[in-house]
Amino acid sequence: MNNDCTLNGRTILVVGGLCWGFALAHVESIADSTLFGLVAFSASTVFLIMYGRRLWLSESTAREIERRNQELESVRQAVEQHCLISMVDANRRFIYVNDSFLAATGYSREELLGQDPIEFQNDTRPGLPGEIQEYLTAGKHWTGEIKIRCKDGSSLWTHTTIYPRVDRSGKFLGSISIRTDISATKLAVAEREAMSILTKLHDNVYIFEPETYRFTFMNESAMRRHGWDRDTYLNKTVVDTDPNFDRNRFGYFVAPLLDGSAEEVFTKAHLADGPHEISVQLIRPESGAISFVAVFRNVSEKIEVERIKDEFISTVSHELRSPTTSIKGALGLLLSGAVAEIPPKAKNLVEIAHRNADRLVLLVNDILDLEKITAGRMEFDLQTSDLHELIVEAIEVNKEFGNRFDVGFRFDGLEEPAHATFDSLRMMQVLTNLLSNAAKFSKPGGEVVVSLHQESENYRIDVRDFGAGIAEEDLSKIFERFSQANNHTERSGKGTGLGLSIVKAIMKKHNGTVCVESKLGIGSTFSLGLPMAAAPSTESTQVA
Amino acid sequence: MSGTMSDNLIPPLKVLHVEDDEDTREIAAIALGLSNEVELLQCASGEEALSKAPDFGPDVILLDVMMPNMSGPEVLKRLKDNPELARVPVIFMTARAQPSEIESLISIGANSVIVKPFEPMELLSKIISGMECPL
Repeated sequence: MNNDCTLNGRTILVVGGLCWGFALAHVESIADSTLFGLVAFSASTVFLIMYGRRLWLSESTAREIERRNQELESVRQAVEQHCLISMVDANRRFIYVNDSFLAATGYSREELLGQDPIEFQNDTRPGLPGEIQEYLTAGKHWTGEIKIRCKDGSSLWTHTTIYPRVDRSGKFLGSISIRTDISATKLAVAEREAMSILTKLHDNVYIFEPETYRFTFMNESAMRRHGWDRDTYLNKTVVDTDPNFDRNRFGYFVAPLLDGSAEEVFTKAHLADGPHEISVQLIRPESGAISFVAVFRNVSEKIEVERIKDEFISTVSHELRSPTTSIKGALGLLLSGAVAEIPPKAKNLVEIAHRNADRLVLLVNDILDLEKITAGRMEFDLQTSDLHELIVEAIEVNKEFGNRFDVGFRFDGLEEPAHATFDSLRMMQVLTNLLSNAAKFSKPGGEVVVSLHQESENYRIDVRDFGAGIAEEDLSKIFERFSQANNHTERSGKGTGLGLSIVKAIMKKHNGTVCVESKLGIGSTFSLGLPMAAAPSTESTQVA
Repeated sequence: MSGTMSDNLIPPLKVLHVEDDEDTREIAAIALGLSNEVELLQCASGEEALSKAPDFGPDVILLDVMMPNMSGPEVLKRLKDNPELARVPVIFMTARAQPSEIESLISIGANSVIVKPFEPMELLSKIISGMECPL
C-alpha cells in the first residue's frame, strides 16, 4: 500500500512537472492569456496540489500503520509470554508451538511438531476431543480446562481456548489453541480445600516452628482443647500447652525428624479426655519455612474395640478348652488300647485325630498366651538364675522330642554359671520352642547345636540347626502372628504360626532380644540375648 | 453317679469328682475305672457334691473351678466349713493355670491343681502325687 502511494505520487509529480514546464515554456502565451497557456498552468497546479496532498496522506497513513503494528507486536509479545500457544493442522497434528509452551512443558519443538496433542494430555475425558472437533468444524470456539502431561510426568493445568482456522472459502485448516497455566490456582484451591478439611478434622492438628515452637496453625478441635482462638494461639508456643512440657525430652523425641533418619515419630499420652496417639512430622514446603506438624488422635474407642476383641478371643479360646479336653482325652484313651483293641487302620485314623487335637490344644494355648502377653496379663516371675543350667535342662526335656525326629541336641559353649534375670518357666517355653522347631526342620540323623556366650553386657544363646533354612523374604516376617515360613514339610508338620511371636514377646518382657540368621539349604541360627545379672539373688519380682 | 468297687484287700482310693461337663466326667470315669484301686463318685454340680460327700467319705476330691451356680472355690469353702470333710485333700482341675491363678487356689486350701486338658492315662498318678505332695 505504501509502495502504491509512492508510485501514484511519482506519476503525479512527473505529469505535474511536465505540465508546469510546458506552462513556463509558453509563459508568454500565459501572459497573453491564451487559453492553452491557462489550461496548462491550471492543470499543472492541480496536479501539484494533488501530489502534495497524496504525499501528505501516505505519510500519515504509514505513521498510523506503524503505530498500530507496534501495538500489535506488544500484544503479540505479551500473549506469547503469558500464553501457551499452539496450532494444529486439519489432521490435528502440531504445526506450531510457541516458546512459552516449550518452557512450561519441558518438551522440545521437535518432540511436539507432527504429534497429536491428545498424546500429551492427562486424564482427558474420552469424548472430549470429539466434542471440541464438533465446535471447531461448526466454526465455533471451545473453552475449558485441559491437563497437559509435561515431559517430567507432572501435570500442567491449563485454561484453554481453541479457535478454528479457516481459509477465505471457509475450508477448515485446523485450529489455534491459547492456554493459560492455572496449575498454581488449582494447587491453591486444593490447598484451601485440604486446609478446610484439616480445620474440621476430629483429630487435633498443630503446626509450629521448629526453633521457637511457636504455633502457626491449629485446627478447630485443637483450639477447643485449649480454649484458644486464632489470635491467641499465634502468640503461644508448644510449651504453653502443658505446664510439664520438657523441652529436652521433646528435642530427643523429634531428633530423628531433624536428622532425616525418620519421616514420622510416634508416642502415646494420657490426656484428660482419654488415651491419645501422637504423631509428629517435619514438613518442608517448596516455599516457606519448615514446620512441625503434630496430630493428636484420641484412641479410647480403638482401645475399647481392641479390649472387646481380646476378650472375645479369650472367651472363645477358654470355651474351646472344654471340648478339646474331651476330644483329646477320649482319643488318648482309645489310643492307649486300655479300653479296647482298635483295628490297625482305625488306629491310624484315631492317631490323626489325636495329633490334630494336640495341635488344636497348642493353638488355643498359644492364642491365650499371646493374648495374655499383649494385654499385660501374663505373669513373669523374674529371678536371677543360671542360664547354663536352664539350657542343659531344656536339652534334657526336649531330648525325647528330638529323638522322634532322629535329631540330637548338643551343648557347646560356656560351661560355667551364667547369671541372668529371667522367669524360668517362660524361658524354658522359649528354648523348647526353638529346640522343637530346630528338630522339626533338621534332616534325620542331624544335630542341633545350642551354645552360650558372653557378649559385652549380655549373654547370647544360639540354637543352630543344619536343616532346610528359611528363605530371605520370609525372614522378616517369621516373628509376626500367624506367619509361617513357607518351608514346612510332612516331617515338620504345620505349627500354629504363633510360637515365634510368643518367643519374641517373652524376650521383650525380659528386656532381651531374639533374631535369626538363615540360609536356604544350609540351616538357621536363632539367637537370644539376655542382659547379664550382676549377682545371683533370691529376690523375685512380679511383672505383668 | 457311677462307681467302681475294688476287689482288692487294700481299700480303694475313694475319689469324688465334681465336674459340670458330662464328656469330661465320662473320660475321667473311664480313665480312673481302668484301675481297680479307685472307687469313684461323680457329681455334676457343687450342690450335688456337698450333699453326697458326707456319705461317700472321699479320700480325695477332684474339683472343677468354673461351674454354674456354685464355683469350685465356693464348694471348697463349704467343704472346709464342714468338720467331716475339712481335712479331705482337694485337687482343682482347671484350664486357667497361670502362676497367680494356681497360687490363689492353693491359698484358699487346695492341695494341688491338675491342668486341663489332662492326659487320661496320667490322671490317677497326678491325683496321687497331688495328694501326697501338696504345693
